[in-house]
Amino acid sequence: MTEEKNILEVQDLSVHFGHGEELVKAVDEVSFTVGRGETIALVGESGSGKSISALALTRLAPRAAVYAGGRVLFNGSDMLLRSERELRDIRGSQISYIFQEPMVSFNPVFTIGWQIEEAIRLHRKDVNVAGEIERLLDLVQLPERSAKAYPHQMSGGQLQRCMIAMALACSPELLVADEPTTALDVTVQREILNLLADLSQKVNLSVLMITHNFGIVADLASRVYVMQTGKIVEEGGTKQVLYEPRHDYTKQLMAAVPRLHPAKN
Amino acid sequence: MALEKGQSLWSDAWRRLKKNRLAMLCLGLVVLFTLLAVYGEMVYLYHHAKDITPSYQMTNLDAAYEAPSIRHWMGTDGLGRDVMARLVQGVRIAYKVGIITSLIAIPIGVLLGCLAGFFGGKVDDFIVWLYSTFASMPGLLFILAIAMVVPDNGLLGVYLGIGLTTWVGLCRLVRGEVLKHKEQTYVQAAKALGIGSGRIMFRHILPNIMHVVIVTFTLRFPAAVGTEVIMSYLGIGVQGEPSWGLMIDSARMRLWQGMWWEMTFVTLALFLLVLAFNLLGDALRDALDPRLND
Repeated sequence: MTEEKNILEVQDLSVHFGHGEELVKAVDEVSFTVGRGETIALVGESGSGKSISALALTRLAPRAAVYAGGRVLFNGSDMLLRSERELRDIRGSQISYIFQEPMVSFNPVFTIGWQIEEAIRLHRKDVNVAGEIERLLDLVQLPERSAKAYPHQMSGGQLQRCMIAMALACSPELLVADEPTTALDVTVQREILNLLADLSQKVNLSVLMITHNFGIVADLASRVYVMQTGKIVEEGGTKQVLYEPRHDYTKQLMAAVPRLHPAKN
Repeated sequence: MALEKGQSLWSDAWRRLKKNRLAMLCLGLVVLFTLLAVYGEMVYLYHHAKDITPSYQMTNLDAAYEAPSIRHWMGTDGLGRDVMARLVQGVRIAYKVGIITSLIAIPIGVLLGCLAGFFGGKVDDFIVWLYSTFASMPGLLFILAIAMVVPDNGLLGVYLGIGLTTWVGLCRLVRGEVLKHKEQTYVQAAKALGIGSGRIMFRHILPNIMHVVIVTFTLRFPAAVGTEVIMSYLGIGVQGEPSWGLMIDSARMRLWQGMWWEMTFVTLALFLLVLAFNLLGDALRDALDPRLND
């Protein structure tokens, strides 16, 4: 297989719920690409279909979803045509996710170490697990003893770091971060975003960032796609979209970002 | 970072349980009964291996219907057998019934409940149909029917009869819990890591609902014992072994003549066992409920 330029190419992806009169086009002919080592952002309000688009990449959308059309080319092969078995091998090892609410994304009855270990063992054989856990915790700047903690003993920020450690356990090529900082307070948001930016440099990771907050897009993403009611309404380089938004919806979204000093005009 | 000392769900539950005096008393009773059952089993196995008649089966018509005394603390029955020795053997039978029927019913209930809750759709329809069918039949009649079909007259019929009919309640509970848990983010996260359905069901969701299984066990155990007593009393349960049901049946004959001891001690033992397990079950349910965190 020839090395594709883009690690991910989504072409005219449509995901529908229900049928007949009740048909909801949650994702409606959406196209976007993620280059190797690139970080892009999918921005939109709640219900704009951005999360469903992200989940659809490995067919993780809720059971009721119908993949009505389009292609999801990951390294050139269409994820929508893969078997469930093949997708399971891809999830976690090549495409990893981190979710919005770290507090409920961990199994409450197991220690962090147990859960990271499981993530490692899933897709990798013959590794020094203890050493790997230590390396991963170190990567996300957590002390080694965190491995012995239960999820309820950690803060949201710490848990989101653990989540990132788990997501990176099998060195995926693409990380899908679905609102990774929404449930965290502002200073912790900054730390997590810096960490993600660092890591994407360090391990040459492609990141698809899903967010409703233009504030966190600016430093992180090289390109931005703006989604509204299942459609992409604007796309472009981050600077271009931020400084010269063409679509009204983009302007509204940007106006919604709280500022310490309101714009003078 | 604020790391408290290792507190898992279980150590938390144990801490809460320890504060409940009544529960600890019941736990003591349960431990006592368990020790008696183990002792009874050892006595039974010893005599069985040596092929000699154990004392609790030895008839001595000269000593029939003796009131409680230093020699026979709980008196003797119509065949001159020591009631206390037979009562201890009754604990053994009761425990065997409670444990073996649980070993049949709990795996069925948990497995079907997990499958139904997790996969939904046709699987769910079938399992709900299956347990509705089971639930629609009067319990005791169903058990009696199974016990009569089983050729071996005795404990095997009791085990199968009770075991195969009492998984419905647990199945329903587990199904409901799994339905709730499978929508939670940690399950979504596990899927996103590429973990398979079987592992998510049994390794991720099941440990989270294990408290339901444990509480169910403590509540169905005495229920199974009670059912066995009724079956044996009716003459289609245990035969030839000193089950509490048989003892009650034999004691009832002479109760009107003032031979109160056999009936009293057997029902007292049954009462205490059922009460201890039920109260402990209730306390466990409270202790294991994380929402009641103090």
